[in-house]
Amino acid sequence: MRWPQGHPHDPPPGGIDLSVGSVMAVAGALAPIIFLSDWATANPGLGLAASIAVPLLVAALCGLFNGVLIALLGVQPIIATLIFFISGRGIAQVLTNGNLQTFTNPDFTWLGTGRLLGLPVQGWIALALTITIALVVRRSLYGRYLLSVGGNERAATLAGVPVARVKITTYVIAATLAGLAGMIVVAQNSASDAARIGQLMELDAIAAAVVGGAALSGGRAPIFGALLGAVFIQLMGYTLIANGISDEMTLIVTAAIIVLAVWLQRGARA
Amino acid sequence: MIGTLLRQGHLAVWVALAVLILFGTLRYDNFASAYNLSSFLGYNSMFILISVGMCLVIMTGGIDLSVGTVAALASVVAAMLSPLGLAVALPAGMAAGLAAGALNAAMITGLRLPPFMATLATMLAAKGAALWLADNRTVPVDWTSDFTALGMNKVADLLPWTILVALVAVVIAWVVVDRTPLGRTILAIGGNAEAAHLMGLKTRRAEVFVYLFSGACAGLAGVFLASGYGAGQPLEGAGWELAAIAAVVVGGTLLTGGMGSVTATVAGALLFGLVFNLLNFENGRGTISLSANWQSVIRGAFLLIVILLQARLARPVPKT
Amino acid sequence: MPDALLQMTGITKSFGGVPALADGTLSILPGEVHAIVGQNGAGKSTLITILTGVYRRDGGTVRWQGREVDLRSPREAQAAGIATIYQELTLVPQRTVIENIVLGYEPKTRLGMTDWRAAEARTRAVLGRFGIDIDPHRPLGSYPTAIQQLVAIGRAAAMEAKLLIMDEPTSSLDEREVQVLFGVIRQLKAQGTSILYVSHFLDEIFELCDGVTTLRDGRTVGAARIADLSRLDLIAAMLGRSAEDIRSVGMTELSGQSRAEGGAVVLEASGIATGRRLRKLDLTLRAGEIVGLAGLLGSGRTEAARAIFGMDRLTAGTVRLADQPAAITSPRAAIAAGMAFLSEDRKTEGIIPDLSVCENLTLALLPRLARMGIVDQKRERRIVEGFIAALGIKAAHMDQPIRQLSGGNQQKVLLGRWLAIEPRLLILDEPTRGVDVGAKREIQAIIKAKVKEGCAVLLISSEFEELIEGAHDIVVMQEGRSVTRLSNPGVTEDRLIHAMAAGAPA
Repeated sequence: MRWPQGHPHDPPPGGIDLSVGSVMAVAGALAPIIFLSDWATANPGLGLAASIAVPLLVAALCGLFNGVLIALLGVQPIIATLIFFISGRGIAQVLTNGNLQTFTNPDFTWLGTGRLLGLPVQGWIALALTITIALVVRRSLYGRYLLSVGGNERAATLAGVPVARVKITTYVIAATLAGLAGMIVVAQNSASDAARIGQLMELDAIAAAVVGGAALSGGRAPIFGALLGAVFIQLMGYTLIANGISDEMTLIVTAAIIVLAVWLQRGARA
Repeated sequence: MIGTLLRQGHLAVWVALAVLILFGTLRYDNFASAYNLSSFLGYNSMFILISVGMCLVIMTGGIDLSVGTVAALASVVAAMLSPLGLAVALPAGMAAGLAAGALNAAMITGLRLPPFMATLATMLAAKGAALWLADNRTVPVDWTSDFTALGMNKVADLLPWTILVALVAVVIAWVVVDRTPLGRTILAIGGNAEAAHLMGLKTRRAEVFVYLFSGACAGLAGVFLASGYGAGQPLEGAGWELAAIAAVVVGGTLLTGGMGSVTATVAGALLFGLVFNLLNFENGRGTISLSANWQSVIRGAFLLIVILLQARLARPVPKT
Repeated sequence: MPDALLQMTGITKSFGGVPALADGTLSILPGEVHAIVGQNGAGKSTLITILTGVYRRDGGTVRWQGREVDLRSPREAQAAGIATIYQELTLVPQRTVIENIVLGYEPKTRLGMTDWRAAEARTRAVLGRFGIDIDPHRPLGSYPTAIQQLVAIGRAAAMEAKLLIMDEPTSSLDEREVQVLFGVIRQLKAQGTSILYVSHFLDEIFELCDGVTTLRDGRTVGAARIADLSRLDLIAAMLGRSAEDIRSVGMTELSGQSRAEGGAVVLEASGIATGRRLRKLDLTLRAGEIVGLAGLLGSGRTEAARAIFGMDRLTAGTVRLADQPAAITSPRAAIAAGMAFLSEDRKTEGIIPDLSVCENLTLALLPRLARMGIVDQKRERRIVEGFIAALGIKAAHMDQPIRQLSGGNQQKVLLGRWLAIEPRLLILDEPTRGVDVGAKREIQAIIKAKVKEGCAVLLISSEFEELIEGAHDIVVMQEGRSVTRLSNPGVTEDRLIHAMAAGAPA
């Protein structure tokens, strides 16, 4: 017999990553440290490569840490990623002694300010990654496994899905992308301020994913929806500010849009 | 009994608290001084308040991400009304918190939005409202009125008024959870929301209550902030919600709801405050110098240790 | 004829334009145990959810104690004296037994606080009445399901309900617990409480009930005294067929199996144990053979399946799979070795509700459909199309979310998930539980066909007919041990029950 389902308080089986902002800060702080070092000034080519690769690797390790806590030790995602949320920014500040690092490195800043075929490089990067991830989720074994783990973890385990591996991979990917985003922010500003990079970014990311229609309880992930959501929230912010609407009103409007989006989705799913 | 306490993490948090206090007392001369005690309690009364509010919300299986910015909003409201005295500013600050709580409750029980999203929206909106009211500045309080008495005065030069007010909130929460049908309903919702509804419990009323209570606690914390630090601070409160969640978790309350302890949550909040306090003393000794940056790193590491301990302790006991 | 306690007449209800109930009628007398039967989708649950105030009816009347009423919420229904024991236990496992008994109806002190002393007294009185001796201060979840079920009934009794609705109350009880439950039901009945009893187990209905209402396709098609009916009459009414039809084809689709002689040994488990629930099991399974696993609930049948499938770690013994030297330590390894396991718990261990029929069906097969990590979707869809046709899965299209399918069709998709990997060994745990009679027969036919192809099947079932007609051999378990192996032909229901109860064949 079936009884009414779907109370909003069922613990969401899907994960969440609160640490993305902090991971951005770590990667963003690390990159200038590397290419401003004596070694990198002596070997500009290698230095640039290392200043991109090492922060990404460190970000991936942060994701691995989250993933291991969640997948192998069974810590709830919101708690596990809370650890980096609290301490990650501190680590970045320790790395930079809390100082603002400014630099001029045209090769690196190209990531944030360069243009390709008239469009910003970072736009190309976002687009390329979005397409890749959408394809991965739709077409690949990993993507299907990801959706099945989000939808019903026990059933997925019984069907032979390597659940722990899928979860760890997911947190590693999320953290690596956050690391990349952190470096783009730094490249854009030609400066790295560990206290500010990616601040409250996790909330923006969640809001974007929600507005774009990722079912918050996991199991469905419209990647293009999330991109559209992000673009929409940003555009709206710019538009409101350009029209003389203040920052604070923009926050309130964003809040209203999140509520509207979630409410509409509930209606569609019921 | 001790086994149950251990499994729920209650005992662990009290033991850890006792060990840290003992450590501090033995190692630092002024640790056990009246001055340190009263400033410690004064500062942490805000966190005790929001942690207790959060604790009730989490017991229902919900979450309230808005407490930090709601406290900031309340601090602005209270600071603006401070010329009219504490008797006006305090209820006004709490009313701001209650309004935010009512908004959360309406979205969660009325529109049936997931608490995470609903309170996320309120978090953003409250920040916007605080900045708008304060015109993007900190709002100085009126020092000539009696408003600052709340944050500055102490009973017998030892206990700040704020900690006493916080204590009242703790007692209310404890009585509600342990002694009233409402409290059982709160725990039942967290344990099995559908069952609670089908059992005919007044689940909606209980949910409305916890979000209102959490909002009121956050509002009061904002009044403390303005009164104790002399200004309404629209940008304060970032990350408070996560500190509160951390305190609740350290206190052994399950994030999935259905179980938990108000008193252990208070211990959890004190534990986090104590780590800071001890670090300050350690810096004061001059043997090592940890910058402020290290504090959050150590706090994160501390949370990690507690979580790892709980992951071991809370492992489900095989059914007999 | 005394006045009815409850009289529902001409109840209609649609969900999103789809009628779930076209003409629901139900009449219950004071102090009777009344059964309600019908296939899945017949409208039983809709009728009951309207009665319990979870859903509102579109049309029709409800008379309760002679007065027309409109019950708008579970709380209103409970206040009127209608209590419900749901199939999936709807109590709060983290909280104590006392709390679960009094929640929502707490005795209060003068100050409005909960009077825990009175609550405990009330709890002890209720438990004492039913002869349940447990510590009411412990969390409900620390007790076995049967106790939890009885506590749920205790809660209803404490509320002094006039009508108690029970939805499949015995589905997770063993025989002894069922008898305790029946004792409690008879006691309640003697005190004048009416019971509405919903069950797939016809034996129980004939043992316990006074009257029965049959639903089919959203309509009440019959209401009778049990004494006036035979089992066959009842099945015929549920299916909408004549009793003769059914008599001629046997009760299950598994009957009339011939054993493929001399099949190679596929699985050999010797002395396996995983803990208290599974202590020592010996089992040999050959290709083209169905071996049944019988035993009371708690005898370790499901645990045996879990151990063989690599879900639980062995503490003793060995599982040897033909041509497979390595030990199986995870479901993933078991699948790679050619095993499949259809869990009894469709909802939590089977379906991925938001994924489509197609995605659910190919989940176990997926690694074989992927090249360099990319799923070959053309091949995938072709395979799924094949299974939808072969298994008679009724879905709008293969991209429909599986949660929208009926229980029987979900079960067929899950069966398809396992057949798709072409297993050498198929472990089926209650494959036909909770699916309607029609789908049940289809599933049994599919299993039979698979065995003919040489697949070995380990069949766990609580239905004696399914085991006796279907299995070539039946391994009987007791308290985690395999105690005897009965061979067909020659197994009778009496022999099987005796073996399960006493451990020695009659």
